[in-house]
Amino acid sequence: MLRYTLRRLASAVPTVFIIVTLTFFMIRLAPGGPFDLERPLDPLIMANLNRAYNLDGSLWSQYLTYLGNLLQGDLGPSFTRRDFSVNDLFATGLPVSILLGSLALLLATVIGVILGAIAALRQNSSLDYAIVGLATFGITTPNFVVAPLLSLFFGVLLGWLPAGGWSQTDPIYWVLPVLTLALPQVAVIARLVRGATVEALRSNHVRTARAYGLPARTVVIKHALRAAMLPAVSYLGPTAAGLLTGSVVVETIFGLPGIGRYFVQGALGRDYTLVMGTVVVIALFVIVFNLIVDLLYTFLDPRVRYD
Amino acid sequence: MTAHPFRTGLCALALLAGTTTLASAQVTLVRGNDTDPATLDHHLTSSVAESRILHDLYEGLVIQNAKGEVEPGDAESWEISEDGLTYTFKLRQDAKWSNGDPVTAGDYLFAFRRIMTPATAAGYASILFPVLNAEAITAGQKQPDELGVEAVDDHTLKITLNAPTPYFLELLTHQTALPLHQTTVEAEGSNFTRAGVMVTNGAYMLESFTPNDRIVMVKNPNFRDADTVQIDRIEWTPFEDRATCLRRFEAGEVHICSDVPAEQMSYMRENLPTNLRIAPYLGTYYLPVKTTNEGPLSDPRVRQAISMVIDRDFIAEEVWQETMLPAYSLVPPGIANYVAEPPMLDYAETDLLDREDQAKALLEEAGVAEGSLTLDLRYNTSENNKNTMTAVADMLKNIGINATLNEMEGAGYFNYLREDGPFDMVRAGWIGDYSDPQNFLYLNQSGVSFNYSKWTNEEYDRLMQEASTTLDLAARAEILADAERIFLAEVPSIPILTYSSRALVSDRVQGWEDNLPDVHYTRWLSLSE
Amino acid sequence: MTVTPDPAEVVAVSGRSLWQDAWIRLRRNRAAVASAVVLILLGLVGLFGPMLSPHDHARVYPQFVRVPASLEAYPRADVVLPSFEREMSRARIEGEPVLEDGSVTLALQQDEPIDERILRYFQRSDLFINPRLDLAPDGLSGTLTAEVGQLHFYFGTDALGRDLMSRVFIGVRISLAIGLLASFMALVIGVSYGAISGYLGGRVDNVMMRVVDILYSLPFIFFVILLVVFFGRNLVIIFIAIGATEWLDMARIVRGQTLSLKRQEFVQAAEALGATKAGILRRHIIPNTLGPVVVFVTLLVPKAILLESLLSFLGLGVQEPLTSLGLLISEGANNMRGAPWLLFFPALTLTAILFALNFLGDGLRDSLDPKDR
Repeated sequence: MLRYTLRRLASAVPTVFIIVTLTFFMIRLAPGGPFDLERPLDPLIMANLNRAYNLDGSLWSQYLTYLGNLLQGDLGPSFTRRDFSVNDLFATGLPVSILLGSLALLLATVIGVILGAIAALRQNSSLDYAIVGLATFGITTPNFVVAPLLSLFFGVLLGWLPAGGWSQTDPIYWVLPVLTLALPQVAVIARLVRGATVEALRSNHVRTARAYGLPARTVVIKHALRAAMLPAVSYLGPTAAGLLTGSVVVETIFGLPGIGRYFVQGALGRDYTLVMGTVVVIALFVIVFNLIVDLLYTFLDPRVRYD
Repeated sequence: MTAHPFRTGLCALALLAGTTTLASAQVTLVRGNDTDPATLDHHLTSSVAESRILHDLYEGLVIQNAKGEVEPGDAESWEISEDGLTYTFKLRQDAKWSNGDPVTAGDYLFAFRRIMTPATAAGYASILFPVLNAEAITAGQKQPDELGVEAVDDHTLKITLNAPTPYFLELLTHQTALPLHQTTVEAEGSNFTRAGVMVTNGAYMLESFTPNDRIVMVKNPNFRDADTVQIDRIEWTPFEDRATCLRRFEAGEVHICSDVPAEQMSYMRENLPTNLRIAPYLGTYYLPVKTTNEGPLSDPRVRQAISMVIDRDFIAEEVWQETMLPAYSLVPPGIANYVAEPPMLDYAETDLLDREDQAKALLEEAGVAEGSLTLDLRYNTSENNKNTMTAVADMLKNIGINATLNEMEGAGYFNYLREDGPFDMVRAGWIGDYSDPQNFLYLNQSGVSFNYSKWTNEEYDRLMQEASTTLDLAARAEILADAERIFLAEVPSIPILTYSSRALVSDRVQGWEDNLPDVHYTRWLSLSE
Repeated sequence: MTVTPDPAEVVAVSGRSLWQDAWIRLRRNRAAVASAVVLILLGLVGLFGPMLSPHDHARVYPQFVRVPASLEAYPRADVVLPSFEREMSRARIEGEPVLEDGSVTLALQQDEPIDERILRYFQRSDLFINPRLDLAPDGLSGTLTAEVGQLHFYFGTDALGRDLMSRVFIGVRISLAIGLLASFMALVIGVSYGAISGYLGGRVDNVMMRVVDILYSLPFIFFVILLVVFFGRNLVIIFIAIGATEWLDMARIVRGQTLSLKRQEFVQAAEALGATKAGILRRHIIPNTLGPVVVFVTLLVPKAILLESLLSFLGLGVQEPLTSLGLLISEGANNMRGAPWLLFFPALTLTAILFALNFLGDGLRDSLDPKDR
């Protein structure tokens, strides 16, 4: 298992390298540069700026410089937020995104599994239909509609929660963003768990367990749900990577200092280093979570083995 | 508002630093801003959002009062030589930096030289090009010490100009003309903007800067006029989504929004009538037409016909919900140093249907048959730009001109304009840096990078040149008006709207006065219970 | 014809029966049938709605900006006379207009001959139809009559005065087109990629799957922004972008299926009979992966539609005057307080489409799943 993990991690290095290379040259091909603003700069000053940020050298030498810095963990200076290095930006933004993302993930998993299991146990009852309907609604409503609605309702009309803004220490600011992030995931997880549980309940080993007279609850929790967790886990892997690296919509609408916005801000503002940094971070998250999913498989399903 | 640990923690920090006397008496103002500043190094900034932040941190030679008028700042008085070329500023004896050091003429000299140095790569250095030798230094042709700025003694600063510049004092209110604490900048290099390092001479000093979250400033106890500053602490919050600011304003979490969502104007008019502040602003929204393309658009008659059929009232009232005013001239009304009756497009008062008739006649004269012309209209992403251009396309149909719409995203769009992309008509906006017609009219001079239409007119260039050397303000105004008349006769860019400044200001905020440059230093404001 | 039956045909026959079976089961699932009906109806709306709608989706009605949804006709009675007077002042005529039985009458009396061109002010107005000017022989007096128009905006109008219903119809067309075309792209790329990778196996499989892993780690939005930047925004780019990012899951699913299929007897039999690799892929492997693929496609269509709406939120959606449901919703979300109908109708339509696709997908999965017999 350890060897497998190490091998997977080692193979991530070329993956990240290829991603960095691809992204580097793709973003440089895009027209416009970091200093193309609404107020155009004097050509003379533009030349000074490009020199100051090493953008006047050949693309190849810039690429090598970037790779060299990256190997030392230096993601470079940000072009559009010039008081910060990209490392600084992630140091302040990543904890926010991870906090919100993991809370949303936790909430979505707990509620999703419970709803899914209930729906499966009461298959084809009105409760089942209500849950499936609710879940579908959660998937189909874009979060840029949900977020302002929640903020308006709980923040402005009722005044129970802050309508936006952020505090690292006061959980009251986390509630609405976490709800918005969790809602679509609750829906997907509930549906996945329902489907898998229905199938597991029909499977032979659950039938056998029931035939042995084990109490229904034990059977469901021990056998059916365990099998049902497999699809949920393989869904949660990439989803977790996505949630933890922030959401541009939720961060924009609630005004949160996470890293989800940096990608879009960076790409539109041609902040090359910020875009590169975001891609590297997202890629690492995806790789790590795919690995975690594969490892979790061995715990959830004894038939799966690596080594 | 409930007390919460984060804020209390910061108050404790502030107490430790000895900046406030009593945490309980602390007044915090939460101000919304359009976006985060790209940097707090004012030499590298250019935007309005940055200017708001920097003018709370620094004080320049001259400042703008609550009405937006120029007033003495660090300089208590000044003398202007008769030829208008030399300005001698007398600095205040009591002006201090936040670390207690006196503000000296040397700090200004250092700052002016630094912004012109090519290595600084200051994006907006060009605004100070009226200063002698500034342009040549930026180009690397001259050395920074050849700049026309001289520290006669610690409290006397002499600035020499290339040409008499009647708006020079106004220019000095721009953030690029703010001073720098020489020893800090030299010791810390690019780190000098960090909280805890940054030394400022304005009413406030930097406490923290969290990107996409807030910039916290606290009162500067060493500020020369600290006794009159009533707000102890400011939280500048960036709002990319205007609707978010409106919601937080209504929830009482934000005291001032720097902009409002135009879609919700009617809602705000009904529900927040005393808070909604809409005032004339020095800005023009215009449509540059590519004049160098072969074909009908190089003909002024065709451009004039296009300008005629644009129903500016509809766009201002319906699309922008009266947050913009219809415009018939490039130079916005109310500007300083201009003629009493500024030139306007002569059909400003004509009924739209009559204008359509005239436009059709012009097109016929120019030999453009109905339906034969299809224009490529481009705009950068924004709901209101989209609606404006869609409406313009619809209006052009009335005189038999077809249009295709093309939306482009930010950096790509501005690059496209600058690099002379093959558009027919685009949207552009210009907010005046200082209140002078020259700031708008120079956009059309040949060879200026903002001249998106690539229009060239020798007479226009000559008039602009003449104006720049004319000392008599009235005569200069007439020359500039003549230039604008030439522009309006040829309309290489079609002015359609004048900007308004829009803000939401809480009833608790005192001292906010609507003004033309839309500047509101926090030191003029106070917060009632 | 040879005497021994072609194994491919045997497979084809059993395949048909599987599909027939599934069809029968699907028909028994009421939710799925209802969803299919809803989808067909919405498809028809997308195809023919814009043609049948009383208003063109790009037509601007300057006098009816942001009017609320209503079954009653516009203009409302109380604005008719003021609007008529406004046109009168533009035409520089005076008098007392009278509103009766849906038409306005004005008696004119002037010192100079009446210019017939005053009519066009009323012709251009959206409020009045068939304006007529009956002049006395001397040309100094006459009557101006105009019927009041009857315009229906069942879903209201948008910020420019365009009929929202027509725009929703166009939105349905574009969103469904994006959903279907993007899914089709994902289907073609994903199925062929997955089947080739799985069938060839070994090192080829390793490399091909590593490519998928790499692409997985690239954020989707990055790819789309770049495409939009390079090629400008248009429908084709958007569905290519979505399709090009959504085939990865499809490739993985198909590869998994192929891995198990290629060990089955009928594939080995075909190999023994000397069928080419391409032939086996085309005739044996791909048709047999279609079950799970069809189910996956019904999930992909809503995903593509939602991705397009995210692009619209970021301002990277389709170009005016076209629109999509995502774009309409994101505009509606901005207007939710002043003009809630702008959010309500597009959101309702999108929800209906996505609900129907979800239930249809569930129905298909249940009916195609052999374990569920």
